[in-house]
Amino acid sequence: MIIFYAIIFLFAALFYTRSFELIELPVDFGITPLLGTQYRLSRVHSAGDDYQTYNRVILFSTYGDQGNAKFVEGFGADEFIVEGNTSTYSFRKKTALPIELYEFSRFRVIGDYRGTGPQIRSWLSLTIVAFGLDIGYEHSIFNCRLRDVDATYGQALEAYNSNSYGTNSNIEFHDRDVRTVITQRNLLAERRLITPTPPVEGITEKILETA
Amino acid sequence: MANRYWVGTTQDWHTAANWSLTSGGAGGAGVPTSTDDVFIDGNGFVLCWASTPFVCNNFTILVGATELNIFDQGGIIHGDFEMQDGYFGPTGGGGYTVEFKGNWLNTGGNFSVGTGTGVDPTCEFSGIGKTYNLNQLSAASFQNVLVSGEVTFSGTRLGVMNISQRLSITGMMTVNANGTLICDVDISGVNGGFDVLTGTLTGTGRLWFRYRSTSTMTAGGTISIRYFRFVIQDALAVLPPRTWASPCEVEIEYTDDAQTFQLGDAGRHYFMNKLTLLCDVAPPSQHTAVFDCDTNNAEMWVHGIFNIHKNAFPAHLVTIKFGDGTHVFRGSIDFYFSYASGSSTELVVDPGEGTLILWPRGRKLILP
Repeated sequence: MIIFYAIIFLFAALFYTRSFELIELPVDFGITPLLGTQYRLSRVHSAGDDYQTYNRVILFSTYGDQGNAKFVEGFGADEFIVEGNTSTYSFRKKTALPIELYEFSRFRVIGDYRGTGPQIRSWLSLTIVAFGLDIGYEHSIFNCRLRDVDATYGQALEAYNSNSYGTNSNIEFHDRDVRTVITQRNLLAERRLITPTPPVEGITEKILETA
Repeated sequence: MANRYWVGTTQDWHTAANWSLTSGGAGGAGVPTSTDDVFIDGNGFVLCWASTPFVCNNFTILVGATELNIFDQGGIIHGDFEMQDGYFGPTGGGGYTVEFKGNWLNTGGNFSVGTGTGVDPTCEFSGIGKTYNLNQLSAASFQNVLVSGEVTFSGTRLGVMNISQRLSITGMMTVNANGTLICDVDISGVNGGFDVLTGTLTGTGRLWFRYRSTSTMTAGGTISIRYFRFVIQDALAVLPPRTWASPCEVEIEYTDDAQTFQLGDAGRHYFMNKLTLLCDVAPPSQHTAVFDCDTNNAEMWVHGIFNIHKNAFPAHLVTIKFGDGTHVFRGSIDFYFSYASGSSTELVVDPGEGTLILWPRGRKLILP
């Protein structure tokens, strides 16, 4: 009988917790974002080849609030900071025309030690960051998965960590047929210059661009 | 309670002989009191004129009424107001109030509040759980409006209420759509705007504010009406900060070349649903439109979608000046200016030295 009551109690506790979760949902719009919030920060001036450049853009998600996001048009920023927890941020896949690129002068990722860190899916559209990739600015242990950085042009990405305790990061370079050419793990104990492979042959590029 | 039919032989409301117990009957029934129902049905003197305040219970202007109902010093309609024909017009000036305590229904005739020297008449809607319906083709023209009760405004017409001067809300004003018709209340005069706003403006309809360089908005009250549109009238418009409660979508409509809409003051503007920039200037002329947070160091918090669409600006150079503030966007941003739109439409972002915080709304997790 005691076990029976214990089970009833557990179910009651579960439902109570579920209802608490429902209260916490952003119900004010009747929309629960399942697929992530979409940003179209307009890539062009009318001539079509000049990116809008913002000063500082912070992509933010608090602990316990998994807000995924997707960028669907290229743009530029003097500084782009990602601070998130277990969220997935996607940049639209690079296409042949119009070319979608994200041009950031400074790119910084700040994870959260309580979670697995944000996953940033570049889809080959993130250009080499002029002033390096800065990971783990405030917190000690997290996992930043920066995937699919375009390695076509063979430029180096300078990655470093301002905190010597940073571990467990994972940066994957891919060439344009999405072969992984280099993966770096635990690279952030010191400043590193990551050099991807030389560009792939033209035939592969062509296949991807017409896909 | 009794019926009072207008059978006046003179224009004076306050003459007992001008009222009958029956339609077209003998006069002498007495001046209407607050419990008497008034009927105007085309059987009296063409002018029904109250030069001092009037009272009645229900006020009905029936089909076939040809009288002009003129009120110099306001009055109180304790019951319902229904207008099927004729003319209802408080005269201008004097600062008087016509109070509608019941429902308001207009299916015909001409409802028009006049202007004069001094403060023009206020129409007060003070009933609780009452309705206002404009169910005819002609507009209803007001000068000052006070909603002190809880009244729902709607109708079969797009614009259900035209307000030339001030709108005050101390109760709850609900402007509702009628099916797919997004009914609106229109503040349109050169001195149009809000006066006292301590109550709530809500509903599924829209409020149009023809916003001028001299216009302003109060930070008080609650605005949660589904659509609130600023129709820019001059070259410059400045909007002070306030909170636009969900699900209010704030629409900023450019209506001419070279217009600038500034967010005012160094405070934060909370748009708890959508912020949309629109334009109704026809192509092909090239126009410029500026949305400016920079000049006043204003900041935005947009909880829903911030939307500017090339189709809304078919031939424009649109400039967004973010300035040096910090702007938070919890929903989508959609600045849609594509290559396909060619050189006729163009977006330029002036980023200033500020920060955009993109904070996507997520699914709350159960915290440990």
